[in-house]
Amino acid sequence: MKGIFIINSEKKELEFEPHKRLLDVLRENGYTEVKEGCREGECGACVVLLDGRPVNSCQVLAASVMEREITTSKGIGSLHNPHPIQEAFAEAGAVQCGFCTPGMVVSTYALLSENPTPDDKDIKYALSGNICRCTGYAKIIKAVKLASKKVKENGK
Amino acid sequence: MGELLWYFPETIKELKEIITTSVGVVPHSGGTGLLKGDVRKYKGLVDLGRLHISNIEEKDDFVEIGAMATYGDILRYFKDKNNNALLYKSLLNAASFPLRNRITIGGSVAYFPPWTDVMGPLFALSAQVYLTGEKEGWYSILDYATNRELHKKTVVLKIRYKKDVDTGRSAHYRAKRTQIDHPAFTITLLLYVRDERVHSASFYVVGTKDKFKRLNVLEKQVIGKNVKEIDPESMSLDEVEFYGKVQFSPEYQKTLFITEVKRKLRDILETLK
Repeated sequence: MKGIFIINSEKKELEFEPHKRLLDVLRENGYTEVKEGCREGECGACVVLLDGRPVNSCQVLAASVMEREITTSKGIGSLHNPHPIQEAFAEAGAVQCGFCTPGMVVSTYALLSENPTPDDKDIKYALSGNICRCTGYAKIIKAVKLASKKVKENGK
Repeated sequence: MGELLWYFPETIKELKEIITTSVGVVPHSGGTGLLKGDVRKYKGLVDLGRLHISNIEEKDDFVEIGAMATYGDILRYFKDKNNNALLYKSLLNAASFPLRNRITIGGSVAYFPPWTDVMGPLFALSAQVYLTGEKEGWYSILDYATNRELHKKTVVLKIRYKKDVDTGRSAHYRAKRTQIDHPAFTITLLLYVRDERVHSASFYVVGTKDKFKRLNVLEKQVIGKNVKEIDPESMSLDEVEFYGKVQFSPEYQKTLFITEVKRKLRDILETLK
């Protein structure tokens, strides 16, 4: 089947099988920043924004989100034009293997959009669906706080 | 397996037509339950996403929740309004943060997985479900959960419960190993106190051998009693049987159930003394 998706603010017509998950459709069409982890909605590696809210793309059937707005971590900022959240993750040393980072960035973006100055409790709650097996989370929490400060300064 | 067909009704009339005339089609709300299996086994999926049925509102004496409201929508609705609402407390840690933006209340009610955090509270709140399809109208959630006939060629459109039912003291417990674990079972306690006496109670455990159970034996021991005289430790509990799950053995679940029911009841009583 074919469907229109609005991915990172661009209208895309994609062809996909009707049973495919959004995660697979995105990755098969070059959005490899969306990572495949558990495929059960538990690890958060595949988190994208769906109409501004974080969802596990592995738990979404692609056909059900045609015409909807999907934002991946690259839609938030890219290598050459990083978002302050991405800069903060790098500066705080919150990235080790990096596999969880796209999902973390997307969840952080959603958090800061609703709550620009989160405390530790807010951060832990908002990132509770994102698992990192490297860092132990301390630096991730530090990165989110730094991102909050940077976003405030940059007005992004 | 043939190719999976998708239907995208935009009105309830269209939905009703599809659901009553097509064979082998199932409703798709959030899809998280369907994705536990292979969706290709179905002939068709009827997406409810274009029906605009995710509204949450107070209507007359009821709180009415559209079937497509996600757990996240429900939490955002109650956050500033009433963070003591039983649904708010029970959904706050359900699934994971991003999953709560996908799991819908209608999907949970229709699918009723043993790990759901929403059914115990809805039973305790004596909720009702509105169906469309071959059967149309409001049904008690207990009838809907136990009568498979009500599931045939019907779709849950909304859920409601009386506002004043949610004014009791409540607690919700999830038997889990980690924060994002599916709970092996959940316990929901809701009781009402007037002049220091419990005048009614509604206690449920979900995830048992029989799927769920109302804790009548325990309810009878608290109703009519002065809250200061209730000693959870000395109370006898309903016979509840569990089946083995990935998380815990039946024996461990039973022990955990006994401990946590008493603990949660004690927590509620403490707030009343």
